[in-house]
Amino acid sequence: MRTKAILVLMALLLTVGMVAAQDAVEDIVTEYSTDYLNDETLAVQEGEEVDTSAFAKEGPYTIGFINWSTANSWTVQIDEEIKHEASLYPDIEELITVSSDGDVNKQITQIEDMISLGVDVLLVIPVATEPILPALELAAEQGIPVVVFASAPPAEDSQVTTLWADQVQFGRLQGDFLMEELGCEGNIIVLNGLAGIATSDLRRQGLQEAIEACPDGGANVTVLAEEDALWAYDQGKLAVERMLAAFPEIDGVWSQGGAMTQGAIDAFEAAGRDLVPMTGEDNNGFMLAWQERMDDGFTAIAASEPTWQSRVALQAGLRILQGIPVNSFYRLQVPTITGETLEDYVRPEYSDAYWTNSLLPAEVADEIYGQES
Amino acid sequence: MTSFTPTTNGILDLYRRSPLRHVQPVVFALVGMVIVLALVSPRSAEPANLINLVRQGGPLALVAIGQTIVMISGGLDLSVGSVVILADVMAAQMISGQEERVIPVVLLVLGIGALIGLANGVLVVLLRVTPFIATLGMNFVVFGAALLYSGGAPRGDIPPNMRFWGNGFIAEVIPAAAVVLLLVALVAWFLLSRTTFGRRLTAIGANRRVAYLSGVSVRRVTLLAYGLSGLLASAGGLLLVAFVGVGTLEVGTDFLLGSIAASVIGGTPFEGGKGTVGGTIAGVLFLMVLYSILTALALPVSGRRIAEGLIILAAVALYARART
Repeated sequence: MRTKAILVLMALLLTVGMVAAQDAVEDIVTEYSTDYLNDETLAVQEGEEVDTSAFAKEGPYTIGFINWSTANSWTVQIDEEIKHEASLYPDIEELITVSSDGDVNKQITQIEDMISLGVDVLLVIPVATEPILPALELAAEQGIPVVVFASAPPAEDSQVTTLWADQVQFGRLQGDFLMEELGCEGNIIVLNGLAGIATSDLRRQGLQEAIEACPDGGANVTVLAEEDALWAYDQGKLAVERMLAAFPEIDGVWSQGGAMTQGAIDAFEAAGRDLVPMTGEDNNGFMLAWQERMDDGFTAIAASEPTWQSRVALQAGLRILQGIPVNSFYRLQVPTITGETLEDYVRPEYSDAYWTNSLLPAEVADEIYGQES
Repeated sequence: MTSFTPTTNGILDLYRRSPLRHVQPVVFALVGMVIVLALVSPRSAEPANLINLVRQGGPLALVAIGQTIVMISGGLDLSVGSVVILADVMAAQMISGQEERVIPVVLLVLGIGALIGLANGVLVVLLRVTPFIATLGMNFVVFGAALLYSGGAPRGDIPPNMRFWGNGFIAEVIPAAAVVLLLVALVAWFLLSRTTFGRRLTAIGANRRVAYLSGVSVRRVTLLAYGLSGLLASAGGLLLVAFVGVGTLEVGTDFLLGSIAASVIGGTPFEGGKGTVGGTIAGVLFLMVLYSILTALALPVSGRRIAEGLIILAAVALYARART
């Protein structure tokens, strides 16, 4: 009787163990890739846990991805990262990628197209959140789970989860660096992206918070001039040239990033003015320009809006399709690159168009960004 | 000369009778803007900074001269923005920092620009597509080609011998880009005012049917006008990449609206039939001075936009009144 009981118990334990083990390997994300979604150094779980069992289905999966544009190097790299991540899974039959070209009407049509194509999960970088809500609701009604990323969460819960790097924090980190460099005293110039675009406005708000966080409330910091330079080199350089002509004393440049900061550096040098502390983003062009001038005492900081977020978004999508719970919101970390860590990121052998805070494996990045030498 | 009242019409009347009537209105507008700039920010109006504006406006001025040629014929070229970007990424990628490749690549890129322009011309002249649609479609095609060519990730850089023309100074004071602009402007001026091509172009813009009936080869001249616009747009792209130093899809300058605004402010009406190279260059400089003023005023972005729009509208309206 006792042996029988022990045998039964052992059999029971074995079954439980096997089921548990099966559960563990059943997550295809951990099986075929590295789990970035649950890596706190990349994405912090916030919001509530969402039960996704209603979305669970067997593969193979068709994934729909709508990029807000592919007309700039950042969105192109977003595409490359997700393409690579998708290639890791035998369970993904197809990744359908389209670009909305920054056009919200086009994006709405594309969401509807994706629904009629019958994608299993839809990943979207919104051009604007409010106008696409009805289309996202349509997807939800059809039982298609939606993952929104690179954007603040839409007002209504038509999406299962949202992944977003806090843009106020982005601007704040840049601003804090500049305030520290200047000792909260001096004249600064400001290069924004485009007024009315959330990313641009929120980053600028972060700068304001940094200025107001000075011990004297920022009383000794003057914003001499401010321009929208569309994150582009030519506009950044032209704007700073005009500012240099108008203002004899500029102590710091707060640029939201992109190639604008590179333009600012070149404008200072062309005008024969000494470089001042500047802020930027993790694009290779700026990072290279920064590295070249470090020995001459040039100081800067780069904040990063990670291009790997498309991979994390895909992982969230795959978890949802497997019925594994996800959180309703993931706050993506905004890494900052300082003079000390610059060398770990900058890639002299790649073109300026490369975004250095990338998770693309070397052989893929070499192919896309390697320079002919 | 009896009871002269200084109303707007009175001043205009006086202007029409004075020897100043031969000076284009845009020149007055430009001088006025420079004076405003000097008042707002004396530093910005120092000679060195003013000369710098010529360099800053160089790429736009080349594109705008091409736009003016097409506009004189009564057409419009909406593809210039993409041609600039294509020239930019192609030049950077093909030159890839090699000084000896500059000349052949520049010639090739100019050739491609001219071919795109001619393709616009074929659409307009032979297939009878309206210029607006033909060149708008071409704009998408060419931008797509730039994306395809660069794979979305432009690479390559510009060696010092070419960067000099976008960034450098001759004898430390004259921007090299201004010399390029001057040479192009002289050739374009000669073409427009001293050749039969120029006369025929104007004739077509003024009255297409009459021009045709007087034996002008409307097709050939129109085709050539679009070809020149494509050529000059690619030249603008080359000057821009010499200024920027690397190939980039992220060109912030609005070459399309900028080139049209400069042409119109410079006295080329939308209906065509007239227009000058000098006027257009003054139009570009007008815009550059305007941007400097707005920067120096440190207006909030909303105010900047409104001011920019109103001043450009005022300049166009003033021109329309002055020439009637």
